Order: sequence, then structure tokens, then C-alpha cells
Amino acid sequence: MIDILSFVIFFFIICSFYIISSLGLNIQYGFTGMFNVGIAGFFAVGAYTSAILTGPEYADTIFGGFQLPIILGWLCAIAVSGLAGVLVGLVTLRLREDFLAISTFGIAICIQLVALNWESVTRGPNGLYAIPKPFSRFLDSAVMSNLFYLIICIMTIVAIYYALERVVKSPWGRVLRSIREDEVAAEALGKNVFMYRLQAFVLGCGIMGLAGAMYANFVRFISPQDFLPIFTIQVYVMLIVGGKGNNLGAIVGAIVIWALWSASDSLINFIVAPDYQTQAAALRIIIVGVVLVLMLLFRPSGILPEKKHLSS
Amino acid sequence: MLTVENLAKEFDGLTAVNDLNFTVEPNTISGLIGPNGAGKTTTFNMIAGHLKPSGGKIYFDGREITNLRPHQTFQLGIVRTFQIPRPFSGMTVLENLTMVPRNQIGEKIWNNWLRNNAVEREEQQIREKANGLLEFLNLSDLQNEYSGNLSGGQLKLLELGRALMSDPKMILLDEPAAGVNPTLLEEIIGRIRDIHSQGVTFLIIEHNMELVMRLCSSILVMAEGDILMRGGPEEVRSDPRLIDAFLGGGTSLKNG
Repeated sequence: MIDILSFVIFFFIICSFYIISSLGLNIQYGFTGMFNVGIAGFFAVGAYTSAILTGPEYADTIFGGFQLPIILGWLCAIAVSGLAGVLVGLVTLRLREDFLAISTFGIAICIQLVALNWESVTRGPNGLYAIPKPFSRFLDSAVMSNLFYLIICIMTIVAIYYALERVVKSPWGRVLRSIREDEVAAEALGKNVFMYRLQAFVLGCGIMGLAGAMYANFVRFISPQDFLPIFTIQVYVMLIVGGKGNNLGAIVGAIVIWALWSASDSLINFIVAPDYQTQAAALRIIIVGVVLVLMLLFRPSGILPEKKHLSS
Repeated sequence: MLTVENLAKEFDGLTAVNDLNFTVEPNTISGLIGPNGAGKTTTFNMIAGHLKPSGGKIYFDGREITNLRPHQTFQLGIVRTFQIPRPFSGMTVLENLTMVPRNQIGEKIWNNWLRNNAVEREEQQIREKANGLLEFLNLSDLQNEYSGNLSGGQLKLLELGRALMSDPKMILLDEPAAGVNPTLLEEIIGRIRDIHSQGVTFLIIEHNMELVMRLCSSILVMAEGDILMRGGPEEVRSDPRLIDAFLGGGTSLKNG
């Protein structure tokens, strides 16, 4: 019983990082139509920011050991990822969507390579370890501390959800959608398209950074291996399957795809002989890929499609 | 109101607009006509700020606007419609109008969290205004329809409605009658007259001579990137150069 409970808690905690990333992507891609393929990069910036600011001192780094309160680490993670969003946005957001995709993809790879090679700060492939987890000092049982963490995750998701719902239904969100529909017309009707795109981009990147920070302070060990492009692809599949342009859809999609991902993992372990399991792990990418294709064929607007915005 | 001086536009060596000069007087309806490829839409794009001129200057209300971006010319009171309508298809007809007014409180993201009451109050006013306009344009029944589902003629009205939401000083209409059936044409002509009577200046690109002759007090005929002639409807109609321009004698002789 306690095993199942602890598995469920663990499942939903990991799921939370995807949910938050998917909500961040929804602002950029779902509402504004910006094809940011650099999610893993902004997630990594948030993770490393919080790890360095809240983590212990390491013998082989020149920068770190601040041991700040975790909440401060998370707020700084939002700020630093947002700032990274400003810098990336300033150089890429004037590009058409396919070029935006290529350049953000490249930037995420660069961020991952910096993490891999900037050993005096990130410890390179060895990663940062012993990152503190909130309240772990007070809660000695792992299940209790995970339960506590899950509550923090849920509260964060609820807060982000309501904050985003407020703005996507506002005149600000209406401008974002008009840019998505036709940016030439939006500009002709007086909207500073570049500034709105930049705002939506930075907001989304800040949210992705928070997800990364929460990941770092949960798993307590991060290394460049955690921030590969597959993460970006997963989040896209989640948003598209859940329903882009619908924040509830972003949440549901993340849960469904993460469940599928975890279930296919167990299934592979169950049916494939131990010697081949490493190779068979690639099968789950295929399974998720097939789900994405089927979804695009039969229900392209997702499980929960974007709602019509009617006047009250 | 609007003055264009020595305006020019080249695309990779091809001259689209060449040393163009004209003035639109306040509170008039002016027509801009000419054969396809004469440079009319290019001229519109330069006035509204979608294209940067290769040379020359544009003035609006005594202020130079030559290199302003579209959202900046909009702020000054110029609004344009498109030859091929550009609705926000995935948004409702009502939303197509309510997105327009400038400097809405709720367009600043933080106001939606910090000053939501003020945002809602303003939204109410904007919605009332939009509803009024939809009634004026006979689109009320469609207010909650996705604008992508409208017919070509309805889209022309929608574009007119969007333009009006901004309380413009000047409206640039690019072929408001193209693809519009005769009944709807009457409606569009009537609406333009109504709006004009409230003091709005119009510059209209149009191939439909009925609309041009009935509405415009001053007509500019463009050909090959330049003004060929200008005058009142009667004057222009009886000028043989007009027929020459439309039958394309000039261009083919020069290039052939």
C-alpha cells in the first residue's frame, strides 16, 4: 500500500515539472504561435540557477555555495530564465516561425554544452549534487517529504494556472491571439507585435525556469544529461495532445503523456529480456511518437481544444 | 491632411512607385485608381508603414511619418484595410473589434493581476462600442461566430468595423468593393458615406468605378508608379488618358 502511494506521489511530482513547462509553452506556442524549440535550455537555466544558489559549496567550483533559502533560489531561477528569454527573444523573435524554431533549438543545445563544459561552475558531466530539498530537515521519512513536495507542486500549478487564465482571457491575451492569427493585421491595428511577442516569450521562459528549479531541488542531483532535446519534444507532445491554447489541456496532456511514458517503460521492462532492455527503451519514444501522429490525424486540436472566447 | 512628396519604392531594381506626389484634403473621400501593377497598394503600404520608401517623404497632419512602423501610424490616427481581408480567423467577430482600441488598460499584462476591476470596466465600454458598430454594420447576429467563417463581403464590413473601432482620423480602404455582391455594395457605400459625415477622411483604392464615381470628390489616377492625372469624377471620366492607362497601352509599348 505504502509502495503504491509513494509511487503515485513520485509520479505526480515528476509530472508537475512537465505540467509547469507545458503551461509555459502554451503561452508561447498555444496562444502566440511562437515555435520555441528550446524548452530544455530554459529549464536547464532554471535548474542550474537554483542548484547553484541553494546548493552546498563544492571543492572544485569557483562559484556557488550560497545556500540561499529555496524559495529565493526559485524566484532567482524565474528571473534568470526570464532574462535568458529576453536575450534570446531580442535576437530571434523577429524571425519567421521556422527560423525561430531552428535558432531556439540551437540555443538550447548551446546551453546544454555550456553546462557540460563550464566545469568550474557546473562541474560539467559530474553534475551538482546534494542540492537541498525543502523541509527535508524536518521530515525524516521519504514518503512524507515527497508528499510535502507534491503539495508544493500542486499549489504552484494552481497559482500559475489561475495567473495565466487571468491574462489569456484579458485584452493582453487577446492581442497575443491576434498575433498568432495574423501578425500583419495586428500590427496594422496598432499593436507593437515585437513587444508582445517578447513579453509572452519571457513569461513562458520564466515559467520553464521555475519548473527546472523545482526539478533540481527535488531530484537533488542535476547533470547536463537531464537537459537533452528529448525533454523539449516531450513537452510539445504533451501540449499538442492536451490541447494547445487551453491551459487545462496543457495540464491534462502532461499527465496523459507522462503516464504513457512511464507505463511503456514498465511494459518494456516486463516483456523484453534483460539483455535488450537498454535498446528497447527507445521503443517508448516510438510509442509516444505514434500517439502524437494519431492525435494529429484524428483530433488535431487535442483532448481539450481551445475554447471560443465568448463575451459574458 | 496627408501629403506625399517625391515618394519612391524599388524592389530589387524594379520600380513600383516613382516620384509620386499628391495631397489628400481633410474630410474628403479621395479615390486612387489605376491598372493592376500601377503601385497603388505599394503606396498604401508605405503610408501605413508596412514598407519603407526608397525615397521621398510622407506627412500626416503636418508631421513627418515616412519611416514610422504600422503600429505608430495607427497611433496617429491612420488605419488601413486590406485588399484580401485579413481577419483573425480563430477569434470571434466581436473579438476582432474589441482587440482594436489603443492603449487598453488590460493590454499591460500586470494590470490584469493588479487592477482587474479597472480592466473589466474598460472592457465593458469597449464591448458596448463594438456592439454598436456591429449593429451599424448589420453584423450583430454574427458577433460570436469565428470570423474565419464569414463570407467575403461580410469580411469587408468586418475590416471596416475594425478600422472604426480606433476612432481614426483617416481610413485607407484597399478595394472595399472587390468580390462584393450588389446589395452589399450599396450597404458598403452607405456606410462609408455615414462615416465620412462624421468627419473621417478616406483614401480608397478601387476598381469598381460605380463606387469611385459615387463616393469620391477627388480622384487620383496612377499608372506605372506615378500620378497620371487627377480631378473630379466628371473630369476624370471624360479624359481619354484614363482609358489609355487601363487598356495598358503605355506599359506594353514601353517594355515591349
